[in-house]
Amino acid sequence: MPGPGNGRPARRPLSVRGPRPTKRRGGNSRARLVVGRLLLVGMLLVAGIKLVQVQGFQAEALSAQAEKQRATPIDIPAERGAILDRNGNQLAFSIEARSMYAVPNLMRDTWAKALEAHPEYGSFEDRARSIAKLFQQTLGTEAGGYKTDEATIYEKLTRDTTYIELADNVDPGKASAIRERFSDIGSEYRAVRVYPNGQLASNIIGAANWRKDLVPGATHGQLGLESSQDSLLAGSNGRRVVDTMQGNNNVVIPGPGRERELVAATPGKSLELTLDVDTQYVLQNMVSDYTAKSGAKSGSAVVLDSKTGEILAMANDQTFDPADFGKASDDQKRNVAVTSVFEPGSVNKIITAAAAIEAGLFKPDDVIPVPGSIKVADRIIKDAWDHGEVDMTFTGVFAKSSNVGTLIAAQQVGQDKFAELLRKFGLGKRTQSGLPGEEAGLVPPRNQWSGSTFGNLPIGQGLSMTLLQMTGMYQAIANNGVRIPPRIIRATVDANGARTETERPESVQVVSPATAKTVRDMFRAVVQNEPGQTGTGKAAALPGYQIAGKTGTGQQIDKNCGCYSNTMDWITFAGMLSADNPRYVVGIMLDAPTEAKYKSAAPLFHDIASYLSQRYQVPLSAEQSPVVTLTP
Amino acid sequence: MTAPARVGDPSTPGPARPDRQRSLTAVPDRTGRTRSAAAERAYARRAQRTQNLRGAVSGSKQAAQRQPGTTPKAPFVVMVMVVLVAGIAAIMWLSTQAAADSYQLQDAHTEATNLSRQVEQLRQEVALAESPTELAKAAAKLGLVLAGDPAKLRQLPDGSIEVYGTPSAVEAPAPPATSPPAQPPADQQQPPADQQQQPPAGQQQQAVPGGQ
Repeated sequence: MPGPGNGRPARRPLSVRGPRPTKRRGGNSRARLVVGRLLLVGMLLVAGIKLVQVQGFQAEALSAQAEKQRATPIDIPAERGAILDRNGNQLAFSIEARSMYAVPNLMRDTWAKALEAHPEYGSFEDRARSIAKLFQQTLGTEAGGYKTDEATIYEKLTRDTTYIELADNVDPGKASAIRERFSDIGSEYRAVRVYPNGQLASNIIGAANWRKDLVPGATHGQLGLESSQDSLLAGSNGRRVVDTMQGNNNVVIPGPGRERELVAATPGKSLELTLDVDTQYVLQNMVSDYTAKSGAKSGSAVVLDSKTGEILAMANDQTFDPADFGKASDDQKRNVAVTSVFEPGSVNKIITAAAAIEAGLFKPDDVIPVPGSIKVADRIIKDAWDHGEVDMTFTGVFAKSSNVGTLIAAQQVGQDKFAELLRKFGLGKRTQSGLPGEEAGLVPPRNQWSGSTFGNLPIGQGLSMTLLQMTGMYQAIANNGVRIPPRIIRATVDANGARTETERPESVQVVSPATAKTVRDMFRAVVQNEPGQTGTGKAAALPGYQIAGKTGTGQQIDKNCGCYSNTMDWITFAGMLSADNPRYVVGIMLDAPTEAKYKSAAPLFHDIASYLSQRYQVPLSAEQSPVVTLTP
Repeated sequence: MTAPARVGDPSTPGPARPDRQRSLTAVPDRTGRTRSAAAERAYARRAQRTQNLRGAVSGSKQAAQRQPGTTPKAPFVVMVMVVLVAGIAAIMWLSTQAAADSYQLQDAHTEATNLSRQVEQLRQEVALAESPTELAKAAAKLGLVLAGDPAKLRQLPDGSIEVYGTPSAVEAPAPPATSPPAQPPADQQQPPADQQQQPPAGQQQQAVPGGQ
């Protein structure tokens, strides 16, 4: 083996030729090798350093630059949740549409350039005419509030402007049919909110529309539940990135891996309401008809499920078309049943009845001598009809709606107990039903009561409540004394169909079950129709069922004199179907009816109860209401 | 490397030569240095001798006649070429397929979008047709009206039947807008407008709600 520094072979044949330049060559090549190696290593090092620099330190900046050059982010619109009724019928949902626009000036320039190369193309006007023709053929003469007849489109296309909208709410299929032939017509994503039931329940559901002013555009609620539950319904937009040609963001480079979804869109949740659209429809018609006949300023009615406090139907005489809510008046948009308060009148007497029975002060058939009037502090209160001192049973006091008798009972109950019960019945506090714009009503605080206050409250004057609160009071009595605050949203349903029930509101035991039953039985007499023993609400009776309820007339304040008016009343009724096995509670309010024939809401209750008994196949009461003595 | 001396059979060299002489005559070059011509010949002769000796011993078993430490190169090369060709062909085929698939995918996407649009359209139509407002309109067209208060029957345990309420007839609906199905023959044709205004008495049916 050759030693170091001795590259010469051990045995070398002798030669006559001069020594071969092996050594030099060998030395040379080795130097070259070394230099080469060094160079290579050096280059590798440099490349390595650059690699680390590019991949490590500058990676983010460079990839961001590259991304900027070719990638165009596109928002993925989130689908807005639907609004459903309790049986899954759609009350509101969104569909995809397109809005179509043109850029006339650019189109004209491009066309002029194309015309230079191909003079056979024809003038821009010819082209505009053929576009206009296709528009009318495809879309008819109107689309989303835009006229799309041939003349209008032609005029718009030949206008001297940079951008013009041609049509809205166009079916995507039709939009792409137009774009296939004329690619210089633009189309943009739109979502259209559809309300298949039109005006029905629109004061509850509200309305949503496409908001062009937002970036990106989206459907957002403007009224009602659409507005108050907007964050839940809207979901959140996703984002997608596509690779596009340089200089033209509309030319997407196709191919696998070119499209990346950075964030998937989160579709909005659907709301399942407690409403039953069929009941709502019938109630709506009944309330509208009756209000119109009675000449009232407004009228509304609520149907509650007595066991769950769910709002099955809630109708106001006026509604609006949610697809065109801009034209609706404030009165039409208002959900009177929760946004306006009134003095309930005699309907409020149920509090005194419940308090007196709960305290064991009276039994239903106890006979009370009722004078013609009663003095509370500085005020003298009389009954609705003039009479001297008459005997009435405790049931009769309410069936005849005697103010004097009620106040006698209330005074025995005492102010504190009465105030406590007002609170437990949920008055003066919002019901948290989930309906927007709800009013709390006004109950004077206990420490501000004057002497005469207690002469007013038991007969339903001097305090105000919404129709929903009033109906809620009767729900408590119907549900064995347990008040469940009413609610409108039953569940939310996510895009996968997973249903989440809304938490049931905390219930309040207002009176004992026994008291509730006694009060129900007593209030059956209100609809009693026997010679000499007739209640005030006989028109509410429904044969076959024990109906319990209470009529009410709350005097309105005359703005001229600042006193209670003698002509304008809130006519109310609250009742339940049926007293022996309560299933439904109905509350009705008419604001100042003028027709004498319709100065009671009892007939309307009858109609509603009759429909409910058929719609939900309510079994007949086991026994009919017994005839009780009202005035012995 | 020095070219090996050709000894013995001087047939043309080639990869398919059966006797593999080429590989055998290739004398391993251990050091890389140059040998003298004489030494070269001596080596060649030795190789020849060895071969002759082997040929006498094991005649036809040529496959086993490899010099130890050498492997046949041809099959390996062929194999590598086959693998390469197969690989390239596979890559080409796969990428063609991938491209074709991506177009198919695109088509499928388009179709899915169209179908989902159609579903949406149909969903809308169904929802509209299902709405009570529309149902009421359709019912009114057929001349139907909402029933009034029905009477209700209850069977008592002894078999007798109690009736609650009195059924009330609702107002007769306006005669249906369509002309009656039983058209008179052509010669007796009346103007349809008259038919609509004065329907035959039999058409004026009162809707009597049934008991539940």
